[in-house]
Amino acid sequence: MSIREKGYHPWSGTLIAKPHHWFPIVRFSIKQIYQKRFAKVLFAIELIPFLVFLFFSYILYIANRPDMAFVSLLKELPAEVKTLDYFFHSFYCFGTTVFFHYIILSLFCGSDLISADIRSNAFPLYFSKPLSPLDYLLGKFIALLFFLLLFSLVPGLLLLLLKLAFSGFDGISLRLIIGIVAFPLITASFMSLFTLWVSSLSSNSRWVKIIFFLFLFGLLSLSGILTGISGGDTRFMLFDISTNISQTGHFFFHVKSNIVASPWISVLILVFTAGTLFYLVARKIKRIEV
Amino acid sequence: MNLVIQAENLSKWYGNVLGISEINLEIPPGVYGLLGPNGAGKSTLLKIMTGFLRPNLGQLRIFDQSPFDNPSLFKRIGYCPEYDAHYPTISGWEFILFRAKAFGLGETEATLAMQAVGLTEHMHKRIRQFSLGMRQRLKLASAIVHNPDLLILDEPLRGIDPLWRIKIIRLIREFGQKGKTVILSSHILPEVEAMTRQIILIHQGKIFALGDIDEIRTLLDSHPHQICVKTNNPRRLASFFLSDPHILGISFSKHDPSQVIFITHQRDHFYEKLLKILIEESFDLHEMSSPDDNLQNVFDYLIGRK
Amino acid sequence: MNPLINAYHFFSTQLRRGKAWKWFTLIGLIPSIIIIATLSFSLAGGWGSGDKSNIFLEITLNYFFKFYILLVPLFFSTSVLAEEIEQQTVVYLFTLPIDRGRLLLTKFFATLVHSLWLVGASLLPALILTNQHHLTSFETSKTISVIWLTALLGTLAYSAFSFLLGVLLRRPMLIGLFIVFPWEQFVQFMPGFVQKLSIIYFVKSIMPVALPEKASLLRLFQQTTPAPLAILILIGLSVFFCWAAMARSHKREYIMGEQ
Repeated sequence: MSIREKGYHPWSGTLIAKPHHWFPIVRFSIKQIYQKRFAKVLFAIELIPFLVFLFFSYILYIANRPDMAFVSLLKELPAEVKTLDYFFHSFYCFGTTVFFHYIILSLFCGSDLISADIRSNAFPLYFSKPLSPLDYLLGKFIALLFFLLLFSLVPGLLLLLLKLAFSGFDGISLRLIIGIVAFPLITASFMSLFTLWVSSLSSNSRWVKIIFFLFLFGLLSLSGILTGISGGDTRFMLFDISTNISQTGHFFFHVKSNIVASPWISVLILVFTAGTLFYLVARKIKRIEV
Repeated sequence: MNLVIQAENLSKWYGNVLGISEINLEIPPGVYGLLGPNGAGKSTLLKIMTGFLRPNLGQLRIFDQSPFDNPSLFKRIGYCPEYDAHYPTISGWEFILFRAKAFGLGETEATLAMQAVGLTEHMHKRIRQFSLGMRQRLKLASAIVHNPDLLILDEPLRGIDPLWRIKIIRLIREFGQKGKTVILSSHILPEVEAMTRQIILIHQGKIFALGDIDEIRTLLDSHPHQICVKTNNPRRLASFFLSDPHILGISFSKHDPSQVIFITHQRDHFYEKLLKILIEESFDLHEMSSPDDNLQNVFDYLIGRK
Repeated sequence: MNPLINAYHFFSTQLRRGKAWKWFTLIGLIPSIIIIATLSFSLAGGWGSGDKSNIFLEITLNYFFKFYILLVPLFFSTSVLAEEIEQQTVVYLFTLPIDRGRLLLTKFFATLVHSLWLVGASLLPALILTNQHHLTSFETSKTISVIWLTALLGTLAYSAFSFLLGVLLRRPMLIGLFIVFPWEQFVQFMPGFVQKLSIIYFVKSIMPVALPEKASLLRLFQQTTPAPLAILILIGLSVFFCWAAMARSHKREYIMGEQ
């Protein structure tokens, strides 16, 4: 039973009942990450895809203008490419851009979120306060999710707003808006939980990074190996995290995929795996002796 | 006089943060306590002595050589770091033997070092299985295995049990008696007092006092002390001291009616007289304390003098 | 005993007893395990019974040359100094009467020997299993030997580079992962001299078979250097990286507790 439930009161007065006990951890973790060396440089680099696609959104606007049809290069573009679905799918998934950026951000911001606490034995400090292990985990999760969404969801919404400013509601559907919001939410949540799980595996920061890479590239290698051995059965690609993220993009933006398996399967894989990882990390933290 | 350590206008800073400033030292053989509160500059000075940092200004010479990137000098220097750092996968014996062989010595010297710190029984265990006190003793063994001429010890008694504290204090004193030099760093005055009379006081990156501990005490004694006494009849107790010329002031606590506060610059005289009165007049003594009898106050007074 | 030999044994003992050694051994055996499992499955009638040598070769080359020989040196050689600083045990090394550069180089040799052992001992069974039907052929044996030696040479070069990173940088692992993996893949797309700013370019120049490349764009700019020259360059680069690491270790200050 946590101190809070026992009716603990500090000497000088009663505790103010606040529902979000994880919020101080979120605030502190975000501040810690922001103050890291090279954080601002990294965040500036992370804005590059958004700036590139800012330019492309203008090109897309021109490509869709009937009075601009004289621009022959744009005339050559297939109709599918000129749709908003393809545009946002490209922004999120082209060359696994989002995945690559997720790796950089997750490693930089999240790899030592839990491992540093294990290393410095900080759990007694956390749990001697009215915080539950779930508050701790939620706080860390939301802090990492904040940065992942800052460079995925927020730019996506800004591009959507720009499209509205350029040409109004043409081409914008509820399905597209849901896709722009849901895709980064699901994928970023998955990456956050994956990163936190890896971070909880070791107090050694080098090991955490290695394990992180081992899983990502190991699963990619395994999926490639199995696909090759099976004579090209692309369903084996679902072992790979980047493929699942890409398939999720195919699902939300209705872009055709090269993989035989239906894209909604990847959404389920990510959601289910995220849930499992959350359970594993929560269990590990609850078992820590204080 | 044969000087072991010489520092001339030694200064070191980390960006905008000052570590040490214009330190001048001449240290002949002997045992010295390097004292100072946290953040005083002790660690910076020790890191320069052990060659991990280079001074920004001035110079430091040990046995007339600069310690930075000078490995041959370490044949004569032994260092026991403050950190609880260890190699978890090897045994205590393997670690000491490695150190001994690195100095061109053998198993005999390694065994002697382990015996000196009382780890022979546990020496084949992995270091990660050692307790904090055992790891601290292992660090000491690694510092003394090659019988250095200069021993630099950073918080040497941290985590050590009372029995081994006495033995290690004796070990350090014996080291000094052999004509070697020991610099031991601590912020705990009683520990240092047990090992040496020679003190180097450092604060805010500067040397504030250097000399015999009694001289430092005298500095303390020449400034007024506050002594709080709790007794069953404080006002009656105070009356015995009213005409004492060494008592500079008497006050009574507003919060605690049983407490009387004496201000004096002759502590020893006051304690002697107080004891006599307490016994002769049958006072009940509940509590006695000296709120300003600490190292911080020494520095405060010294800063005031500066 | 020479102090450096003593130090080598000391570091070597730590490496062998560490968790990393066991885990990387297991990871290195994955391709062999997969090949054995596939062959067993094929023998039992699944996935066709045709010759899968080409697929196995692709798996082996991709796994080792794009993953394993990058990861193993990166982990072990960046930790030469970084681990000592993180553990704060660097005080025990740099207060010895041994030149810092030489001591670190000795530790690097210990990690290099272990890295070469890991790569060599994992790759050889995979290559043998891949070419099991053609082992009696001289050409096949020669090809396997050259691939194996190339992997060892690549390991040496990556190890030396990682050693330098570990001495230069505060976070060598993180930066090393971003240099070694993305850069080594990305630079191959570049035309002209830029390709030569990577170790993989020279490794590919020595290889008797082409590394499998999915992206057709890579074939557009593919170029090679003559194998003997590539070998000399890799060895030269390794020596240079080691020398630079030793030189830097002398100048560097160590604020204990830095991460």
